[in-house]
Amino acid sequence: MLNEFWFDPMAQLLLELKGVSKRYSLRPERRLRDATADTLRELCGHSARQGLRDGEFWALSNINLHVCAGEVVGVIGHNGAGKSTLLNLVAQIILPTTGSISLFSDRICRIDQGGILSAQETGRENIRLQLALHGVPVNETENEIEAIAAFADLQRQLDSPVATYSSGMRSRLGFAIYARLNPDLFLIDEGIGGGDQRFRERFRGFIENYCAEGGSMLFCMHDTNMIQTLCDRVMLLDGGQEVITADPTTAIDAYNSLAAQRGLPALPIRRRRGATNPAPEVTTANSSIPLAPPTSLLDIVDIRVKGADGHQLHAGEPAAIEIDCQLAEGGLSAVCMITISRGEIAPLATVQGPTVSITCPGVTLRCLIGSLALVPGEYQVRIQLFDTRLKRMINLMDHSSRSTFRIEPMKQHQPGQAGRGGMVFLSADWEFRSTSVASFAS
Amino acid sequence: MADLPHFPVSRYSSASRLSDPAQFLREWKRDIFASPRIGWRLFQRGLIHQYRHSSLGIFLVFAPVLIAALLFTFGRHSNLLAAEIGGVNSAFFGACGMLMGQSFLEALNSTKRLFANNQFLFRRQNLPVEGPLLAIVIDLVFRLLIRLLVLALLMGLFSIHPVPTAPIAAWGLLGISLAGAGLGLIAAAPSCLQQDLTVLASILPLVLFTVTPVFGVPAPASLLGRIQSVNPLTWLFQGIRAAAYGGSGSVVAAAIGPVVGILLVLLGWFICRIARPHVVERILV
Repeated sequence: MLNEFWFDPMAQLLLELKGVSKRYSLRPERRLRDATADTLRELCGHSARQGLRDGEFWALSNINLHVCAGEVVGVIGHNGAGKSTLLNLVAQIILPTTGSISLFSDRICRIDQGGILSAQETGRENIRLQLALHGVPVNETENEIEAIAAFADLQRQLDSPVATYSSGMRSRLGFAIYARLNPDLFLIDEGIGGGDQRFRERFRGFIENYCAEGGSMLFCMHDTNMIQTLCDRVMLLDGGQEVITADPTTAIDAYNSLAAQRGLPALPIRRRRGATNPAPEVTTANSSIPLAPPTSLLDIVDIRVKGADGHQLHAGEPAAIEIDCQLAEGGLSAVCMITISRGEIAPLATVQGPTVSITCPGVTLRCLIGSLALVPGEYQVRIQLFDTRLKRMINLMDHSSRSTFRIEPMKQHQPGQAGRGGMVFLSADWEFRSTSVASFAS
Repeated sequence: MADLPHFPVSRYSSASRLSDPAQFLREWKRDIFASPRIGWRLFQRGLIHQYRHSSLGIFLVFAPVLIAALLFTFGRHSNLLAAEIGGVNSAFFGACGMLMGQSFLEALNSTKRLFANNQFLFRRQNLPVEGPLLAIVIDLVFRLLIRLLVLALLMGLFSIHPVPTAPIAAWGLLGISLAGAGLGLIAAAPSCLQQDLTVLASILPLVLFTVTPVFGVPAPASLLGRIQSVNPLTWLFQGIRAAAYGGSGSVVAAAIGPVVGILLVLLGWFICRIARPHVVERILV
């Protein structure tokens, strides 16, 4: 296994999985019988049964993994690959069917999209319960409640039932609780759903700070920006089996190869990894949209997607993508990569620019595309700037807030040109050669 | 980041947790010490769930006893019921039986729902069963104290004079709750995974009130009398009555009843502890 290659014998081990497998049943009508049998088996001192009963399958098979202190390990895979099962095992919610799991800390906290809040209880009651569940002493709880409420900006709603909160408020409260726990190991299952852009950036910033301060993390996420930015290594799971454990780029490449084989959507990928700053949200609709104030060394302040005449974009015609950037100080060499996607299909097309030296405060990068060979419709554009000297991403746009632009039908519309059955117009030369003069003549 | 140990603080595998009894007991002890703060919070949560949307609130704890007393008084005055049962006012006998029956059923039902009521937490966190169990125990003790007050009130109301063994009656009443809790814990895992037990639970009061001397004492030679004589709860119920105001039962039964109840609770607790991951695994998918 590649896993062994990554092991640093001097590192402080935090979590170790050896040959872990997990069996699940797909037959709910058998769950009482199976649970009783497993409980009785354990009461008799026997190990878990190794075979499969009728309707059972291996959700995970022979997984070896370790996480050391200060390490961030990602787990990727398609739905049903076994990512959540792996986190449930590490969180000690369930037991492995084979193998063993060793934890070197009891300060482990799991974040999942399902949330931890009970809707019937107030925010204050939820905080109290969660702090108690995570071992915070009772005498510290009241002080923590005020701090959490302030952090979540929910002081006024703290004594209202969580059912009356918006999804964003719930996300903020859940996140604020997690942020105060400061565990040795965070288990993150798809991050926190809901919340506005500001909150997402805050969550992302918190995770980045936690990692920068030596926190450890095992996380399952489809956000490749976060995976590539944060992870020291990534395990790719498929059908419950470890396909590869490698650096993030290699693992995402392997994921995309698997996706291509099965006709599934790929994950967007960039070719270098390094620290990042969350980029502001962009929405373009064939026009320029102002973005949030610049916060990093080089910030995108404006994006314009235009047609050849500077206005509407038409399928099959030239297009220009203009990116206005602002340099905070000094100078840098950067490469700009543009990714165009549509719905779940990402990336649909990429354009990578040459290395450019940026020395003046304001600069506009202009990408001219000879023929935008995409069928009419709504698309998303994503800009990534890579610092070639520091080998790190300068700007990343949030995965969930892609900008959009529209491609109009061709100006000179011809029958059958509506782009049915595909996304891309292929430029082709056609030949016609008759093989049967008689039939042609008839 | 705190200093981390060089040896695992917890290790779990496919091997039975009972294969290393010392480790099993260490982890059990750790969970017991961690449970008070969780148990207290879950108790408060349960209290809120019960009473936030209820106008009657705590009245519901003793309302069935008072209603039973009223109905029996009405029946007695209408000559539908005997004036006395077991040597005391029949209304008091019925109210007392209701109080004991309710204690048993509440303990049974609340522990039976140990997994079902806390699925939300069990599915997301490594929640030891001791936390919710302690919350149930606190709730049962709270209800028991209220019932003891109600019992004292009824004794005063019906001019029933307590005998010197009355403290044993309180101890016996605890035994009824413990017996119910123990049986409920044994049934907790199956009832979370199968609806049949929930359906059966709805007819359990009827069965209990028939095979236990709750509202009356049948002739010993009758079929019901013979059935009741082999029901351990009959000994406990009659023993508590004998300990409280004197009667035909054995005070010894009231004295040893809680010991049996404690053993049942320990057995149920142990089963729940072993069954937890196997149950949670089945409610996850």
